[in-house]
Amino acid sequence: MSVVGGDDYYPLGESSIFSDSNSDTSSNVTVKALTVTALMTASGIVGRVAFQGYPSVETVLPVAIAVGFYAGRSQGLVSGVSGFYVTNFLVYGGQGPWTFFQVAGAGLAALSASYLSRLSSGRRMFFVSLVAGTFVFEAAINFGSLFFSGVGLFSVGGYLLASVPFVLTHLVSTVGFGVTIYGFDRKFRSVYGRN
Amino acid sequence: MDLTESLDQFTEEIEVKYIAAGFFIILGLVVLAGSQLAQSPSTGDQIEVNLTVDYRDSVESQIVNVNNSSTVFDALNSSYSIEYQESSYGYFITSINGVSGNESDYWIYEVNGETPEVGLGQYRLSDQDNLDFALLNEAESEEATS
Repeated sequence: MSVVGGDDYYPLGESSIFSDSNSDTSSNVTVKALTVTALMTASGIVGRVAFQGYPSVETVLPVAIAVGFYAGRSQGLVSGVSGFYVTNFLVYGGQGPWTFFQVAGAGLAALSASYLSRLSSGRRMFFVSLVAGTFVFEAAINFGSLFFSGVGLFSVGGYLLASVPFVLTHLVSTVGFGVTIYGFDRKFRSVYGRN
Repeated sequence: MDLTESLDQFTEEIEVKYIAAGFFIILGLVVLAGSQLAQSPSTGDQIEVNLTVDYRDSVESQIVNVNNSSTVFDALNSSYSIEYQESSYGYFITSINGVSGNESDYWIYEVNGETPEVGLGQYRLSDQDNLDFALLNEAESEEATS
């Protein structure tokens, strides 16, 4: 696990884009790892389309958090960003200003998972990442809604209160899918070279 | 490595209990969310309004289904044959089911026992509102509105 050095050494360098931030060395990402990330992201996309009838039940975010946790920030970011961008072409409602906030929220959630995994890569931290990631995502999209709806400062409380059931549903959904993803924990550790 | 070996290795590395637990959490959530969705008003958010018309010599009451946020005028117009005049003040009902007002008696309306301060073309109904129309003379109508 990289604590000092690795891609942090070159914050704006090529390595920060292409390296596996969780590995000891800034080694190249293996084809196998990228394949697994692509498969997970694709499953997240299919899942979001399949569950589109249920508000706040979606699979892109848990996948992005898991990829961020196991594979590092670059792949997590790509998974979350591409997941929401692609699925918005396929779900009811389509693309809109919300796409930006969903993409930003999922990206930030993946980044937070990646950083949390540096503190500890155990099971508990994986679930902490899922919960933290959901809150980060919800904060981003609710900020976006407030921004676009033009709700006055006095209504912000009521507005956020109205979002509570959706946040809770999203939390249970993300943890639920996260538990299933955790079933592949050992597989991911071997593929992504985590111990 | 042949296919069976790869498959064996794969199944060794996955933990079915987590996969199953996650599956049941999501199943529970979907069932819960599904029942909530089924309970929420659909088909353009229809609401129910109790509409009573007091013709003086008889009273007629019925439950009217209208779209959410329909006005009092919409609710009455959808269930009774009415005549009305439209002015800059809004709608003025002149007759319901052929029973007309005259110079002294006219149709007034109440929602949940109170006379709204806006015209019946502006007042938007909510689910389970009690909407009453009555043919009243000036004195009765003043009493009703006071």
